[in-house]
Amino acid sequence: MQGFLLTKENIKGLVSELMKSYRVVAPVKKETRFDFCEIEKFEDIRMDYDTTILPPKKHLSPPVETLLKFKRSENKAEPVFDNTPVALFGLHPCDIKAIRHLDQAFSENNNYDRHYLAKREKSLIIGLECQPYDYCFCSSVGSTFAKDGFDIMLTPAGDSYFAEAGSKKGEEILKSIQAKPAQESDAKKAEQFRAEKEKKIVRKFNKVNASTVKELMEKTWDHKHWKELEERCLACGSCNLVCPTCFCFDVQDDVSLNLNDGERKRLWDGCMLVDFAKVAGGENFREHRSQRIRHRINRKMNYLYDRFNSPTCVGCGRCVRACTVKIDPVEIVNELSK
Amino acid sequence: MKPRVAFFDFASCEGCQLAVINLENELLDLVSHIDIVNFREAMTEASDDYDIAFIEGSVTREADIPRLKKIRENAKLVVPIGACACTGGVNFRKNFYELGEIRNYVYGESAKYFDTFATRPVKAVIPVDFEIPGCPINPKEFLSVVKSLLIGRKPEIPNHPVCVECKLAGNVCMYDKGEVCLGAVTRAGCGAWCPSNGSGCEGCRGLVDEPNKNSEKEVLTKAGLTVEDAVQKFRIFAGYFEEVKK
Repeated sequence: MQGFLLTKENIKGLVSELMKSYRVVAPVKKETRFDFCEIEKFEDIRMDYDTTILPPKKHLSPPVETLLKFKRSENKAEPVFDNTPVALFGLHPCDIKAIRHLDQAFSENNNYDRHYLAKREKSLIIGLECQPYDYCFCSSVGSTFAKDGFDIMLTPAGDSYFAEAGSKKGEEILKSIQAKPAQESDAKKAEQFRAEKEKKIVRKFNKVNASTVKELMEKTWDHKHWKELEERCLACGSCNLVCPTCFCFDVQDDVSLNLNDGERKRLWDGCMLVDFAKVAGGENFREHRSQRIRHRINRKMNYLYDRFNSPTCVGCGRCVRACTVKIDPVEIVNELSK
Repeated sequence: MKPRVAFFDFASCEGCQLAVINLENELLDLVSHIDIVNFREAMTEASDDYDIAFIEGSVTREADIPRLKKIRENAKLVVPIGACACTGGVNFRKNFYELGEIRNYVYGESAKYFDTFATRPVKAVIPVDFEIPGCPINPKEFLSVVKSLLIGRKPEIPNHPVCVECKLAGNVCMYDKGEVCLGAVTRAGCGAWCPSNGSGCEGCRGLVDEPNKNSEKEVLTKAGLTVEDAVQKFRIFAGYFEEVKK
């Protein structure tokens, strides 16, 4: 597909074009951090953000989401769908890959999650190529670059951005803002930006890679390191809740004060929390923190590998960033492979 | 017939009852489902015929015990509300001092007129059915417990830490701002009230089940607290918990 060259002014034009028909969500400054929020004006967008508190997932599968409304007196329920068109702007390749995982998880084997898909089908993804920051490790899990999963991908090329369309919709939008076709030299600058990114990645698995980490996990079930992690982990669930590929949720019913009208909601849940694997009768299948960490890391590196043909960790580093005791998948994998 | 509900208070600031009275938009709906028959802070009439007793405050005097036992006899359900009633609250701090000494410190020359013993939560004296922790209680959680009782469902008090609600709220972590926060080991249910308003969690809802004491100690000392400071911080609200006692 043909590339375009977008000046900063063109990017502004692109955002205003999007704002006409989409709720535009982009990285903005939030106190000491960045977060994906709905923007009111282009100037709020921080193209230089490192990572965000929560992944863009929160706009496709919100932390708390109403699934249906019911009336107890009538024994009736009506599903609730929110299909407000949303444009997710400025997603790094790791987050783009993460959304591909969510797309698969919420639609495979004819199990369609209509609540997620209603939003996803009306959404647009505009990617933004990045540079590594202190916590990420994308090259170890195969998510350094996004080849697909976006409608438009922007890569810095000098003072401008090299833009590629990844879908028909993306191509139409690029054409509609009358962006200039890119020259070969622009494509080269973008290529150079990506090459520099790859060079700057220092946080890596040192003995395994995205394809072999699965085998490592299978051999290290009884490794003593899990017990060591038991001592450190607070089991606060922060790692789960900031993860772009964690999609487990809890379902709760809430009834209003008239005791008749109610809502069924889902809330993000996390496998590090003590009640996650507790069942009726009080039995807990993962009672110890060490068992829960082992589960989480296996869930990301091993269990779903065959289904997703990749680790389901995308190396965004949010879990390490959020952890007050800095439990780090890179350190864990390297310790296990010693 | 509407369930008859009573509110009682022991050693407390009565702020949790005030939180109930403050539910101005919901009170009319609420009293269409329940009869409030005893609520000293809000009304003059007082009946001993009730089904549900909400109790605020900690037990700090010998004379509290027969009064509590009477409430237990009268009520079908006993629900302590607030940190004082659930875990002794700030009143529990006195248990870390010699009783005579602290009594003189607080009451001075009049100390002899004030009967007092080691602070204890309601559940240390009588069996309780549910607890709504917090200083003060979260009014939304109070409503949710009342609604659950009215429709015959077990009220849900979260068993995860404040970090969960703080993440769901999309807050910047207090530690990212160089602040100390007890949210990682404190029971949620407040909606991460303090961190969402720019202040670290003080642990008013008490500890979660199985808190990782050593790791939390490390986090706090790394954030600049001495071990003694860290212990004192937990003793503001969570002195009742074994992990904090020693």
